[in-house]
Amino acid sequence: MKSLLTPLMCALLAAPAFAQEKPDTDKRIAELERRLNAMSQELETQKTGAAMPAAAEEGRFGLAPSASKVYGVPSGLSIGGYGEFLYQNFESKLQDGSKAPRETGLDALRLVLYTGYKFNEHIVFNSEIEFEHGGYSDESKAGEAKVEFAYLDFLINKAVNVRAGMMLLPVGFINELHEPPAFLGAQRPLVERRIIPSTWHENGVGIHGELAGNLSYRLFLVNGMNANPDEETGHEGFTGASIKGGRQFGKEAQANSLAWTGRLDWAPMPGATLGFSFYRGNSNPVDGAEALVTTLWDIHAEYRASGLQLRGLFSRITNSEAGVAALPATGDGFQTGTRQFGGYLEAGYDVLRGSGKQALIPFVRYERLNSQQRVVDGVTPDLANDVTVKTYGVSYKPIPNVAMKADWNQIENRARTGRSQFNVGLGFYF
Amino acid sequence: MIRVLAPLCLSLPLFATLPTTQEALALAFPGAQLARREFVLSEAQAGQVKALAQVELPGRWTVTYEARRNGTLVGVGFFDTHRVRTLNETLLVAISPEGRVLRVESVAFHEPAEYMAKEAWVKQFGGKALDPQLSLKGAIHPLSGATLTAHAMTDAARRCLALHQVLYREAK
Repeated sequence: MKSLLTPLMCALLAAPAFAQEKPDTDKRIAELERRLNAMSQELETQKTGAAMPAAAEEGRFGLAPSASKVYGVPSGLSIGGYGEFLYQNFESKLQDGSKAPRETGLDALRLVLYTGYKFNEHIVFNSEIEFEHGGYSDESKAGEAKVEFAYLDFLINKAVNVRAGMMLLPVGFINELHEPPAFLGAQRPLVERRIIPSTWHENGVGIHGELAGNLSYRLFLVNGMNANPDEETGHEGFTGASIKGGRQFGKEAQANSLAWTGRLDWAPMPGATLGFSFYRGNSNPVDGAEALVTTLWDIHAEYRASGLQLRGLFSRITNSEAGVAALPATGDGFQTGTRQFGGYLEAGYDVLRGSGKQALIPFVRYERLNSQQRVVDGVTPDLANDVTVKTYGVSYKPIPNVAMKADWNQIENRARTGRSQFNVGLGFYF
Repeated sequence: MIRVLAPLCLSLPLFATLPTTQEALALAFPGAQLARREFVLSEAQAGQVKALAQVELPGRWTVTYEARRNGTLVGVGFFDTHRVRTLNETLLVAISPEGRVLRVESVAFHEPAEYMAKEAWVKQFGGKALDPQLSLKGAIHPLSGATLTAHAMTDAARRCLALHQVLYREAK
């Protein structure tokens, strides 16, 4: 009996106490709800990295004029990179049918790390450090380890921002955008290696921004090229095949003569770009030497929509005749074309359109270039520099960041020494 | 010269500053009353969102901002945070009651500025519904030089439209 009464007595005694606690329970639930709401808002802010709207009474909120800015979140380090590996197998015969020695190559072409640091919403540092051909060491001196760009951006407003440091010259398509999945083909187009000497980077300062009417521009003042070779530093200088040896890469660059470079792009609709770029400067910085004025320009167009990719570019280089003629007649620089041109058309189509993010893009590219279209008196143009390249290939991207490519370059020149090649490339970026 | 240029530059809108979340909501739903609402999706709902969107759903907890004018629901805003390259971006995806994108607005972008999508490109999403054409191989034109941003934004639009479908249209 006692065992039955005890719980009953306890229940009766406890009843008033429960009745008294009910308001406290409601209060506690309200407090817990308030805390949960506050925590969920805090979580939302952490998740989005942006200050979320402050909840006002009854779950509504006003649009406070003193709303905090999103860049109030911790700023800092940004890391990216890309890499590419290239297998090349050259044809056993030259264009004229003569036999050529067996030649294949497998190269860790590039491994690149991007690092950037956002000091605040107005000042951003960006850099690219690149290892080419497996990198450089005392045992293997064929490779390179170099800074490709390292600049500070001072973001002032949409129309005018300032960039200073070592920067990529804004010419052509590839020089600024050269991550392997961003272009078709195991190799970059020859025109954008030999006529537009990608990758081209120098020290300088300039402005960039976006203008009304979907226009964007860049205008930089950089150290100019140096057409003169220098055995001590390994500087190649200009040759009949290309001006690319004149790039100084900002490495203790001679800056007696500065050069202007820039571009203007117009995006009339999403996926379409029309634009031009230029470079102009004296390529003979030796004090008192005859000026060798190099002018390079290109016009380019791109259209990408519904799996279709079309790209076209035409570029011309002129070097002042008096400047080239003043170079040592026994040197390679004397062979430099005073007038050069190059252009290409490229078309690809994603046959896996409609099947998720995978892409399989067969493509064709037609290139024409001549680095000695015109030369100074006393020079006979090398017909091997008058080149036609037809490329047929395919690029497979399992995800947008990774590309596997295979292509055939049919290379012909007017000297009939062209040697075609088969390439396989693997590239990625993140 | 500096005296002339400096005030001119400083008076222009800041390039790097994006709208705040409040400003983005006000741009998407001008003059509307906004209410925050939280959802915790059931396992079945989460599966349905993934199936509809054909993209990953990072979690089951979702916050929406319901916009009303004179008591009538005129749209819902979703803030979607996702990785672009190695860092995150947060977008407001504003959706009409009929399930079409009203506006996409970036409110946080932590990658370098050159990877950010231009305004004209982002406008492509306006009026788009959740269908197979909402992809970079369909009605959305690719973004040259910022492929990962374009993919991330397209995925976010698909994810938010799928959430809207499950939470608002099918829940009716």
